[in-house]
Amino acid sequence: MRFITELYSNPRVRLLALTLLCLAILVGLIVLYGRGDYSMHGFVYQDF
Amino acid sequence: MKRLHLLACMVTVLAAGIGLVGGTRYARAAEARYMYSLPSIPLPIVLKGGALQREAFRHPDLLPIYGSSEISIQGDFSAVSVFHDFPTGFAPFEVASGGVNALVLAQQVAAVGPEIRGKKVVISFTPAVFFDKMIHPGNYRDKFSALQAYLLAFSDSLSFDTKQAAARRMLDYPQTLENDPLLRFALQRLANDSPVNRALYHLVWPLGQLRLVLLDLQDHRATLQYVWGQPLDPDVPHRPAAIDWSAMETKAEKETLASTGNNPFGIDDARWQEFWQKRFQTYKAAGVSEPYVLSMIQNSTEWTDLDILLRVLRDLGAQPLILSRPMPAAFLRALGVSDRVSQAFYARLHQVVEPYRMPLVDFAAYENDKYFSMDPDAHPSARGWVTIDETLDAFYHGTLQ
Repeated sequence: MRFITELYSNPRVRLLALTLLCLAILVGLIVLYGRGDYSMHGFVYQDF
Repeated sequence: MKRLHLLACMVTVLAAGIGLVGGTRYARAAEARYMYSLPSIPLPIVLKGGALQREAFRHPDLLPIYGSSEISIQGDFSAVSVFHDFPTGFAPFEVASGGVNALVLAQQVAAVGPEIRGKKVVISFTPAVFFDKMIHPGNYRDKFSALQAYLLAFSDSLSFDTKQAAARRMLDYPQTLENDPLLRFALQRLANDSPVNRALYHLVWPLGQLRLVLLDLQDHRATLQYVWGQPLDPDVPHRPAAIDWSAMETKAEKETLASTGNNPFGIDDARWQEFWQKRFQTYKAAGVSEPYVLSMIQNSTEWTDLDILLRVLRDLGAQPLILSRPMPAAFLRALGVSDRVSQAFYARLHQVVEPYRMPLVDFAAYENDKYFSMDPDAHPSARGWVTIDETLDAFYHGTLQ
């Protein structure tokens, strides 16, 4: 735990961690909402 | 601390930007590479997307054909089979599926955008769609694409009048807009002709463009997923060859005659047995009459939708061929419906299309040829297909009379 705290006090590590967090959020959003709706279920026959 | 957060955000935005630009370029390259090897079946990514349709217009040896089941039902003599190996220099790229009407086609074409300018495209439909008051909401919903609807509503290539006419019809199907308040709002503002509504439409324009960026990315992603998931071979051979149309007609005629022996209307035997025999009895029992069919044809909203489609094609500067099919005259006559109905259909068709000065082929000369179509919905028979193939070939090569 102490090791992590010490590591996190390094500005470069913090920048890297924050960047990775932001990227992870972005990837999560893409996974959740990046799929379009391409479903098709066939059609209803229309008579006259 | 705040500076660190800001820096992290900036690095993320930069990385995301590079990723998106690189990813889109990669997707476009993959789309171009596999364009020729896509299977000739109605693919949802083609029908509901935009990327592959736009890509098709970048290939001069592909002739995009938009239509419904009269195109998507294939056989040995259908265009995809006859022109599969590019014998005369082109192959069809079909954007077609059963249950599609002109309002859906208008959105599909609008999704292509400026890429269509000066390019040849075929718009196909049958008289059967004009026998209904309007497209069934279920069919419209099934073919509806948010991407295409946004591309139409927020297009800067279409005139305001065209977008307004389309918006008014699109609002007739509120179920497709239930979960999309931005699109609904934009269409309502387009439909209401007042300075305030126009101002509000322009106000949401940037939001529409932002949504389009996301929908476009989804489109590329779906296409990539499809391409990666299929064993597609990008090397599709082009085999130039002269087509002996006369020999093909003879062969197709033989096939058509052999498969239409169990009914007097030239309907395909299997279709007659499965569907049309019963349907014919039902129509007769219900007394499908001339005034009824005539009123359906005269009052169908399909005419409005066809006009919207033609406006979209004109605004985008496309070079279309409007390809209708013959009326099922023999079948209608057996129901007691006279040729007045057919004449009314052809007259209205010409009245709607002619102001746009676009070539129209209605195949009216074949309406008494019971072997041109394999059923009263005007799905082409083998013999009918050969005539259509010849028309497509002449249109592509600029020799259509």
